[in-house]
Amino acid sequence: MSDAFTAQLDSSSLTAVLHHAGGELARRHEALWQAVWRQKHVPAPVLELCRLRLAQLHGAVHELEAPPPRDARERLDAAKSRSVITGSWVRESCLSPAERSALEFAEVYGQDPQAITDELAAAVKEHFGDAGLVALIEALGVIDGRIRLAMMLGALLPREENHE
Amino acid sequence: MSEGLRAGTPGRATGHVIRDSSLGLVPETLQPILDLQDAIWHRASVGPAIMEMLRLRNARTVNCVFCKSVRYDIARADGLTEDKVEQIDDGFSHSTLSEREKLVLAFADLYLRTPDRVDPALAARLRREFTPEQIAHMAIGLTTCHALSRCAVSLGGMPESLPVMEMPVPA
Repeated sequence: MSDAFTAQLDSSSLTAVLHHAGGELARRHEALWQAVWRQKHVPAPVLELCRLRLAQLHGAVHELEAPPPRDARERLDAAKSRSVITGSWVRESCLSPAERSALEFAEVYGQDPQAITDELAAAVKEHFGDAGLVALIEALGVIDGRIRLAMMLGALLPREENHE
Repeated sequence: MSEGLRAGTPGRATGHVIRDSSLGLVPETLQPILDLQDAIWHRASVGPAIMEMLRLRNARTVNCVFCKSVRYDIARADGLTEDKVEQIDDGFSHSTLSEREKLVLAFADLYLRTPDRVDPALAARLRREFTPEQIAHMAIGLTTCHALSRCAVSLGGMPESLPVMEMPVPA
């Protein structure tokens, strides 16, 4: 493979690669990425825990090592992130019931959305409301998609500096 | 699968299929989704027929009944016939689709099934056939269709089947 093509990216470094090749579509895709982290129904630190879990499910090593999106950094609890990365969140009580409901939903979403149950959805709604359930589902879709693109586009799109 | 929709809808109907759906409960993301959809279908460098092939390959993989039933009118106008649509299945590599169309579906399967394992030979063929802009646009279109179809499945209320319906892209 040519040196112009990178190995796997992460959802942060993906932005530059997509912007260089994708123009207006990439700008609008980025706007949606920013919007899912800034909506008011599910806190960004909760979504960050979900991002880490989805990255694990994909085996996306670069994604797990990537810095959290800017809007998730401020109120982030490193111990909670660690518990997701190590898998200890399942048996420990470090996560709030609200965080746990989102993570349990993400766990099933990441493997097969057809397997999501009404009970999983009801648990999310209990903490975040109907709008929160929709916001969580949208965010999981965008995050999951960014992880997939980051893993594959390094082999298909040249890095920005190689065009200059 | 849930028989009922798992989230409510906005109280006030506007007549817009997406604004009136559960997605209308989250105004912060609604407009970015609509803006992105508009760009994908009206500005992408690959054209609506190829984008529709990606969308339908995704729909059949995710098994979103809504997405599978829809045919966007601009894709049909761009040359995507039902004969071609019928070949967007697991046997597409042996179909009568063109080599370019087969590559489009291979790109979709890479994203949908093995994004962590890019076959160098497939990568080389994709880079020969498509410009970086076209690859980026196919990637953005596919990832958006994928997120929206998984959203529809996750929200529940999916019927067992629906007839094929031609419609315009929601503006």
